[in-house]
Amino acid sequence: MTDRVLTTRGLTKRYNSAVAVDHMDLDIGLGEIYGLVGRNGAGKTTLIRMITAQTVPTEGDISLFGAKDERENRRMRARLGTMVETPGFYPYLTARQNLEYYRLQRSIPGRRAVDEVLEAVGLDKTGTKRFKDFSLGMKQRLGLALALMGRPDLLLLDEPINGLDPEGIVEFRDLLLRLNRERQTTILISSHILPELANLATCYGFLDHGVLLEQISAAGLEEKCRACLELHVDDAAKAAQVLELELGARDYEVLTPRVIRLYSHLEEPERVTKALVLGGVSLSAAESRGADLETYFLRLIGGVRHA
Amino acid sequence: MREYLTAECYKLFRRKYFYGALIVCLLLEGLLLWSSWFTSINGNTHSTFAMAAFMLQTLLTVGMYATLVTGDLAFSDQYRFTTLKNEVSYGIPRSRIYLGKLAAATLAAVIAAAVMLGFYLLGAWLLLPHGAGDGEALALAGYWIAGAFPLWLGAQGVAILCCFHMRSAAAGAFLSVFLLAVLPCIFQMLGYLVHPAFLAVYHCFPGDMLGRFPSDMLGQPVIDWSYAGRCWLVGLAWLIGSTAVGMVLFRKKEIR
Repeated sequence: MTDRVLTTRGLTKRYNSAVAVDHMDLDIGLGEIYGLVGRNGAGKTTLIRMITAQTVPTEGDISLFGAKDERENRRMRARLGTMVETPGFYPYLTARQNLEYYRLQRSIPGRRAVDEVLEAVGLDKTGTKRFKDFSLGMKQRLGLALALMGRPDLLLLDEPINGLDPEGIVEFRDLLLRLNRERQTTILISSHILPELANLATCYGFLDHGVLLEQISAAGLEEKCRACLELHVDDAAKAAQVLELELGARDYEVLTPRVIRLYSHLEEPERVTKALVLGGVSLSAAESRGADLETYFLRLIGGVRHA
Repeated sequence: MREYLTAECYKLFRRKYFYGALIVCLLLEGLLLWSSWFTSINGNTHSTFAMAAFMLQTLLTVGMYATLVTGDLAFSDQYRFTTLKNEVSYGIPRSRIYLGKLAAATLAAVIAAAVMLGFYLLGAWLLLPHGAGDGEALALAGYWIAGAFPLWLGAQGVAILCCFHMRSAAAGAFLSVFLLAVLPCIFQMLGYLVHPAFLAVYHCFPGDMLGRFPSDMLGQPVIDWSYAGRCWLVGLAWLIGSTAVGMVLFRKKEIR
């Protein structure tokens, strides 16, 4: 047994000369909610499509639940729940008929499995209404129902809250958190709605141009995004001494010999700068820092682009 | 595979398309029977059960084109509805997906053929006058069907190959018609204009074989089982060949 649910090594996908995913090494552990962050065309969907065998990698390896080869991976895919891009169903069948078709196909025991997931996504009362007559939100919910059917161990969700109303988003978030808590379901989720992702994820992967720029835990990210006063000085050690003696500051971090971060006294930057200057420290810049997920991501990719 | 086929049948037999297409065919058959009956009661002595059974030979080629409909029915526009991803994502082997849909299409075709043939022969039996040649006509009809069946299977293989590899159903149907109807004509032309070897190739197309069943010689019905044997060889070769090509191409196909 392994506590790694999904591992990729050197995973690459090229379309002619364009590289969609570039030598990606990804590690997702059991019970994690992994938020995949990247702008359009960063490679999020291609990555999920490779994991779900919708497209064949140009090079590199994927291992699901510790599988040694593609044959084992294929067996392990029965433990997945996936929703990639827009949900695809037969328009002439009802929600129940569509799910029953896939239940039969995947040999999921018990007709109750269909009722369970329809109830979970709030589509249990759609009756004879066919998929073609569903609203966008209802279609999205049915896609989620399919992903949840068969009690998956790993959920792969690509932009799952697109088209959901605010109430639906809250219900969906609660559902994922409950699955994660009660069944230890591991979740890989990509979303453009970063604040929503921030409410869920326990770990993040930041992608740009097919490259995984950084993998970081939610706690690590919180630490990095913590609000502080970043001071650029001529001597950080001396500045630390002044801050301790004059302001009684203890919560600071010397990043480089010329940069120091102060996590206290955030409301009184004038007092800080005055103390430093009076203490003989030459101050070249002082800026308030601290970021939410969105700002952190934008900083990471080097500027404001479409997130 | 059993579960996969069960699911395919669940979907297939819930489509109005299947029943609609079948009803249209049965109505056309009904019209044919009615016109035979109408001419019969108005003094046409040739309008008999035996003659109706002989007419089956002209309908054999229609059976080949019907495989386009059953192929489309089983494949169900998967690329347009983006439903194929729901299958491969859950580890269902692509070979099973391909063979499962081929089997479902074949099953639909066999059921439709049985219903249509049964309706036609039973209708003719009930409505038209009988004579001494009835037994012979029935034997001949059985021989044609026995020979045509593998050729229909071969055509079904081609239709499914085209469904799997063309993103639009219309393009799939177009390619099927090209492979089953236009390509043999090209070989026939090349056979006349370039080299007789092309004619040999032309004679191995299901469409040509269906149209060349030896039926009567000097007014006597002929049952040539060696020709039926060739039909089986050619039909199965088309089925196996098209399925092999289709599965190889589908193995790495991008699913969206």
